[in-house]
Amino acid sequence: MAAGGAAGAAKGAGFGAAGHPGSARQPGVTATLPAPADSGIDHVIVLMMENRSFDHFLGWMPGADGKQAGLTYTDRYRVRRATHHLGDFQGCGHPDPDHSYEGGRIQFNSGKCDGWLRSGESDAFAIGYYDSTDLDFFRQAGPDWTVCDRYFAATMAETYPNRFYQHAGATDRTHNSTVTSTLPTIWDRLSDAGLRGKYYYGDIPFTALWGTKYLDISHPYADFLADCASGNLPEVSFVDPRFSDEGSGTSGDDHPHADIRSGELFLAEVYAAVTKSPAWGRTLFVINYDEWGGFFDHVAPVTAPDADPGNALRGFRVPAVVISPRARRRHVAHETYDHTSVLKAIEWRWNLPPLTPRDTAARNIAEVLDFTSPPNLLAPKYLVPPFVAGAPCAPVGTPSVEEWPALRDKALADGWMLP
Amino acid sequence: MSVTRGAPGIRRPLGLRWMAAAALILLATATLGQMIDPPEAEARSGAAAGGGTGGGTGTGALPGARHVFVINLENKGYDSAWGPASAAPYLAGTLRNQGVLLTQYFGVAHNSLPNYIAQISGQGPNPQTQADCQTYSPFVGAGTTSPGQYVGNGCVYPAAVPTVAGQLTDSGRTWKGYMEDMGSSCRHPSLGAVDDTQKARVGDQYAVRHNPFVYFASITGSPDCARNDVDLNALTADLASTATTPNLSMITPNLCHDGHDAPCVDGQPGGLASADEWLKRWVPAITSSPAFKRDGVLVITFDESDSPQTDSSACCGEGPGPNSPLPGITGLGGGRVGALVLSPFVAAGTTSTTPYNHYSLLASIEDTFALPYLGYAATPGLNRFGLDVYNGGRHR
Repeated sequence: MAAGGAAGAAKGAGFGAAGHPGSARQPGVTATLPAPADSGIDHVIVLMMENRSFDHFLGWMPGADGKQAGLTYTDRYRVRRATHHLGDFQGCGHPDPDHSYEGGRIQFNSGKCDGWLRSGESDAFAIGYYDSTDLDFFRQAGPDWTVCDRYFAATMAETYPNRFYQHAGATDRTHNSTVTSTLPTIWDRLSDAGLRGKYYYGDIPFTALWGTKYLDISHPYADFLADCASGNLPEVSFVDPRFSDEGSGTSGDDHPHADIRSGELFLAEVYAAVTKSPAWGRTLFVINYDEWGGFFDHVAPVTAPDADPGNALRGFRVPAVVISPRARRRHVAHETYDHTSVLKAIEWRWNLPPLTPRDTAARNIAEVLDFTSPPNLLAPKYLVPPFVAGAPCAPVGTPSVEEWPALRDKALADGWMLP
Repeated sequence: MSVTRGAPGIRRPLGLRWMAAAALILLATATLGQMIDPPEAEARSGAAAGGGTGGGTGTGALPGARHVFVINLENKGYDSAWGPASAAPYLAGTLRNQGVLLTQYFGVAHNSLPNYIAQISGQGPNPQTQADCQTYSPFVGAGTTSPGQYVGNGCVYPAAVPTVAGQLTDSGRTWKGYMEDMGSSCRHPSLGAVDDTQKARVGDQYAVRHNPFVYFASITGSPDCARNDVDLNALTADLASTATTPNLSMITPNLCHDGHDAPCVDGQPGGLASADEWLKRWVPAITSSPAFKRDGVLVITFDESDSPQTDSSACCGEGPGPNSPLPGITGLGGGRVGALVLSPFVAAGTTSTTPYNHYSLLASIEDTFALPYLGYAATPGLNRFGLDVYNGGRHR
């Protein structure tokens, strides 16, 4: 896999060079970082959604390197199929696209990024896309704030490995499983420094994968809304959506077959809570997606320095938006980031030692901020209308391995009290 | 999904698509094995999807294989066979790095016999085949149900039940079963007699229940059986030239060398260790043969997982059968076993994550020789080997 990554690196090196038609690339506007204490950032909030690629979800974003209509991919029966606008909000009738460690490498195809229809049971859904009219939150918030169009999933693998990277800068597994982890995390670094970190979960706490170690810093989502309202936010907050009931369309995490309108409502709710908080003036809020979900993307990821070469290949690009009084407005950032770039920002701000070679080498996502202008506290209000969810999707194809119930069971067995 | 903007080829009125599809199916039948140009394949596939039959039906992905070899090993789940700690390092390491590993390949039943029967006929299990036919009884039934399933119970299917062996013979192609330790060709009990090969004996570790050809009266009642269902010893000579190599070779090691027994009755260790030693001898013999090097495909798989208790999961839409509501005794399938495909048409060290089972294997063999699908191989939308497996770039 390292060889494939190297091949991809050669291809992906085109980034930064001229010649992305239709994308207004702005070279070299990354900031010279100030002294951390002078950054004006006292709170970092990370909201990680599920399973969407950049082209599939935000390929329409003005000024970004997105591609949607007009691409074709050959399926396993040598039928060429075209990318197409998706006509519903769930993808009912289609299998959940393959987004496994192995399937991602089939899709990557040594950097050709053309195997979307030759992995797992992925069908035409995997090369479908949404446009701005489908996305009531991103249609408004994306162009208003800073969108990153070279933000990759940290590793070419499914949900748990990527979420481990967000917490720990590494993963100890290539597939979802509920074995208890011993990886050191950013929570340990914060705690060692006497700082506060809180993990807010919708229904199932990812931190339960460390047993009960993080029980005391894990809180239900309602506490996040309350902490925003009071302004009593910790230095670092991770916020997760509700993971259950993806099939019924109500989960709000954007994982197929969740209704993406539910996800948009959730994003708007968190955005409103953050921007109305008394702490807003000194907050950096990052919205990202754990991995690409098996959906097409035209940019080949490259490898990053990693303690385990088997995990060094990043996953495909995912949507990422940076929101802050320090954020550039109506801006697209083109440098390469992944989940560990957010860890890097946290470690920079509070002078914490890095966790692994990965976050050590990562670009600091705080560099997309504008530290030369005064903070701009204005935050537009976004109307995201409620919707009536359709009927739950009937199962299609071989059921995908559903790990959330297993994690819920593990948490309950370990003594967690869940909402 | 009801709206698909901007996707060429799917905007034509439904009626036209159906007419085009019908014409193309006729065309494909008339030009066996011929590559279909992508636009035609798309129209054909699109129409099939519109008709609710699931996946595409194009054959444009086929590389032009003419010789298929299948080696069935016994009773190992995916992790024990293919995982990093596999007791078969030659299989899981050396050979795996030469081919494409199908990580989502499943057995269709427990115990052994219905898996072998599935591979050559598409017939689902019944209680007696699930019990490995301790008595070699005739299949007694009444009628059929879709897709091509004979309703009833028993071991030896009546002459009307078709097999891929018969399909190959009828279309002027050749097949052989190579059964280690069988000795005399087409060896099986008399109808109604107890099967005395259920336990291995020193010098005779042949198991009738791992030789599917003798469970079809259409074969046992024909001179083809003595000609084509032969001892493994015949394989060496048959591999010497393309002309003597059958189009389909189904290969079953004995109860020691297929990993079934451990330890073996003759003192060998058995299990994956003995299977690995057997593969070291026979796989190079196959892969160095003129037929394989020209246009061969070798599939190495396991009939079922370790046991119904460890894994009886299914894939690929397998559900309750007309004769056995639970094909896997405790579940719907034979569990995840994996399969390795070696071929000049395959890129070394690659992976396919597409779900397959033994019915998919039959359908893929039938695709190779442009034969109609038998039994559950005709399951709508069933995955068949495509560019995920034939990923090597070389096509004839």
